[in-house]
Amino acid sequence: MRVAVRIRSWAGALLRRRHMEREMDAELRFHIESYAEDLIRGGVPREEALRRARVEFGGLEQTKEQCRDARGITLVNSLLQDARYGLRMLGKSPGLTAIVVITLGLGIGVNSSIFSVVNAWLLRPLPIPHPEQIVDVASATGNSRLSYLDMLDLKAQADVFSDVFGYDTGSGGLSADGKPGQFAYSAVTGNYFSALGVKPALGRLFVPGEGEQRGSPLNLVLGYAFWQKRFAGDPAVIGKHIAVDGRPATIIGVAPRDFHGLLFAFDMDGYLPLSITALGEDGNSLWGDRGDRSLMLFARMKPGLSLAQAQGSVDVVAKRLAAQYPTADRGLEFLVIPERRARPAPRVSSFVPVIATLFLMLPGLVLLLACMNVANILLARAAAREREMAIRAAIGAGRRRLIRQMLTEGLLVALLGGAAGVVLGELAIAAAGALLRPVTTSSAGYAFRIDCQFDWKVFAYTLLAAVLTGIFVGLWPALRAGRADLNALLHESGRGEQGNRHRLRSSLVVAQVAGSLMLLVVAGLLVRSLSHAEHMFLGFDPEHVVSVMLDPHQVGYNQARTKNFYRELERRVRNLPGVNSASLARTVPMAYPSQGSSIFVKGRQLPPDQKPPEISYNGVDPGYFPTMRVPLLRGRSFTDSDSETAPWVAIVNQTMAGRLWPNEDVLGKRFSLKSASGPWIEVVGVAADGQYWFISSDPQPYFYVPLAQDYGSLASVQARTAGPPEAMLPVVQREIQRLAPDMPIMQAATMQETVHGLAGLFIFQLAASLAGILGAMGLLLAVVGTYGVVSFSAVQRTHEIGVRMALGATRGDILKLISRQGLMLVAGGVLAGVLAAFGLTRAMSKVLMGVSPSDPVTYVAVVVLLAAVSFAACWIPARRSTRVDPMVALRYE
Amino acid sequence: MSKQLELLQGTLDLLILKAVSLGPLHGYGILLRIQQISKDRLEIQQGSLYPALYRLEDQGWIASEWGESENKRKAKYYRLTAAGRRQLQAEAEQWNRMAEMIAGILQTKPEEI
Repeated sequence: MRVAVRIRSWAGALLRRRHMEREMDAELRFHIESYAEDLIRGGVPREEALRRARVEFGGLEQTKEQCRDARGITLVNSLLQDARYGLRMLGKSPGLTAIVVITLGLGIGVNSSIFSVVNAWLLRPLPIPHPEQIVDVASATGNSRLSYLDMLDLKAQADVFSDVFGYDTGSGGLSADGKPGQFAYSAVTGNYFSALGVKPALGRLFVPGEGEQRGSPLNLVLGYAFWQKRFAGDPAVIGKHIAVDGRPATIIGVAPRDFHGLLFAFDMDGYLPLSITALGEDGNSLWGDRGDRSLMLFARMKPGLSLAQAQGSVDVVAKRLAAQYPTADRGLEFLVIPERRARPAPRVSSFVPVIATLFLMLPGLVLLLACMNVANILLARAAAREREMAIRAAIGAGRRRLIRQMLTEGLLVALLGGAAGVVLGELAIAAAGALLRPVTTSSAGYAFRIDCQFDWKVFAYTLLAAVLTGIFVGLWPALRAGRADLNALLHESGRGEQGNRHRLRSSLVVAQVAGSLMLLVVAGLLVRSLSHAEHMFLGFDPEHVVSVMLDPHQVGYNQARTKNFYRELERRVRNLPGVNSASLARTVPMAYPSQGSSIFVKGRQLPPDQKPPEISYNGVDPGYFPTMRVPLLRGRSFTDSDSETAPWVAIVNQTMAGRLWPNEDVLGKRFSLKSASGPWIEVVGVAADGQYWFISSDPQPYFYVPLAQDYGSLASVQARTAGPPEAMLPVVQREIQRLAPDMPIMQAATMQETVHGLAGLFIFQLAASLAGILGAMGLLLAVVGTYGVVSFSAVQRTHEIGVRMALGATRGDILKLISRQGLMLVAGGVLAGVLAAFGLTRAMSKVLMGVSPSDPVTYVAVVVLLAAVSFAACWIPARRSTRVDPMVALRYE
Repeated sequence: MSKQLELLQGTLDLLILKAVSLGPLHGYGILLRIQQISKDRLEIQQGSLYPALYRLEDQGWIASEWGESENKRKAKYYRLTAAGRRQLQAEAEQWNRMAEMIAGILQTKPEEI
């Protein structure tokens, strides 16, 4: 009951706020006047009676405030009032407000755009029912993939899963309506869609078991975007007969618009039955060979089960399989990883978390700098408003009320800044998308898609950042306002800052300089690392080389025809005018795909619990080493006599030689890709180390085998050109068309383009330019902050400067006086920043190429740059203060 | 006139409830009534009366309406509500028990222990 009464009272009072204020006024006035009348009746003169009535009543405003408090409406009431007052104050100085809002907007915008990437990457669930139940089941070794038989065993034996499914990715030729083309697909198990709970946008999806045997009909489910792009969203595609890699296929359905497949950051053009991956001569191994680990497996957990339960269950299955199949499943281990944490791959290389953390921290630092700047501006303004505060306190505003006023103003600017930040962040994301497109579309034929749209999480994050920012920037002036000593302030002449406020603002400058120094050091290191990576020896010479990737399998060539085709193609390319040499290879560095294998060294017994090392390799023909200019250090190169019937040979790189055969002569040593008992491959040469699948600061072991001894239909042809390689690309492509008119070209690029692509320097360029932008923002903020403090203090000291000049101080003396203070702050900040940067960059050593985290060049350059710019920021206001006319200064205020 | 006593903490509410229990009063009237009943021996800061009134009204123990004062002016009159009457009774009982107990303690002589 009481609660209801109070709510009514509160709500009523709130609704009739104005009314209540009037009533309160009338009531208190009635009291005072009645008392005065009584006094008059008692013989006190009228004036004196009114005065005494007011004095004895006590503070009128305080009483009113307490009455409002008693009614419980003060909070809302005064918040509204504060907000209105704050807006008025902001409106009064639009220039200052704009600076504050833009500063905060930049700081918040950087954060929300970075967060939106993290959100898309790590936080956004799959667009399916109960996405939290989907887990990635990965092998603990190799490329994490598992075999079809593993999938069947898990489905049958791991009772924690309601379903287990898998897929492989591929790309192929798709010709429809007489038009050839390329598409990237997922080859999926029949239960792929049903386990995920995906419903078709059109037609039907696969049913469990569909396409899981050799020779199944090729049914195709189109991706939504590809359907729109290739078939103009025509609903009549259902039932359409097309050709996939030259084989007849039928379109049966279209996946929903928001479903893009499970391959992170890419959009699948289509989905084919798993049988598409089991067409060739070795087509039966997919269904029957435990060692054929080509599937990415996923499972849906039964509701309510924990990850630990699931892991426990698959551990049992793995042990059972390892015991049952000691050759194929030796040391088998399954990892159960929630789908969201398995992006981009279940076991990513170790530097991804480092980069991610770094790029979440740096924008945070920028926001902190922006906050300090704004806090500084608000503090300076608070100094100018100190008298206003004192007067408000004098007429009865409580301390808390003043603090709240300042906090409200801080929150107001922060929320405005947050709104600006959302706009800037959206722009940044759009710009980044445009920047990324050329790089990402050229690689591997997959449509790159990272959906950084601002959803509620990004807005929530931005709002949180804005509120924290508001509290941060409002708090200091608020605490100052709360501590304001009425008497001292009202008596003070208004000149000269109080010591401790000055100390506070000074320490903000020190922190700002330090923070921006850290940002600049990180940016500097990444830029130096990029430049080093651009100029380092890659293990080959990317200048004047083009590479074109083909897959005759896509147009239905068999092995013999494929081999003939490549032989003829290489001959023709070599004879093209303007081509110095040509070669064939399975792949080229930094281009999709890569292949690797377990390595068994002859005559070396592995301890039973140890797994054989996993090493990447390439199949190349004799022309590869001269064409790519890969230096051969020892032994011989491949020759035409290293045919498929000749003894198997390999050329290893220095790192592999040093790791597998330390202190031994590596030539003549033997190893196997299959088992500890052969068949053996003999090492015939040693090649220089280089960069292979992706650029890494650690040397990677690698080896080459003759292409003739490593058949695969997917291969690429390289040509070393005499002139500009760009001009040669269309010539090579024309030659391919002439030889095989319907052969789709999977990838055609100069080696320089490939080296700058996604697997190459792109990530370094991205990191360097992002850090560069953040560093520039940090520098700008530090300069503005320093300039603000020094010029404010110069203005405050105008009177003092006037006196000094009148007493004979020279301009040089004044310049020294004013700038010294600023320079001391800068020096302090630089020192603190260098120490902090040493700590921060230590974690970066993994992502730096050929640059030490404590690289002296970077540190010296950054310190000099920051010091020079800050010096200018101190010097300009200091110089202005020397131009003060002593007479004007003395009359100042 | 004997020396004025300062109001004990928390007793102002009780005094206000008592004062309005005798009939509706405006704020100034409540002050006068309390002074009259206490024979001017209590000192009440006039301003402090109103936050207490607002609080009591907020709690639903007194209700207010505008009426005409004895000098023909508009004034806000407070009266006790039913809940307020119960509250007054409870608080008065508690106060009496407390006063008796304190008095008893203070009258204790050494030989009684």
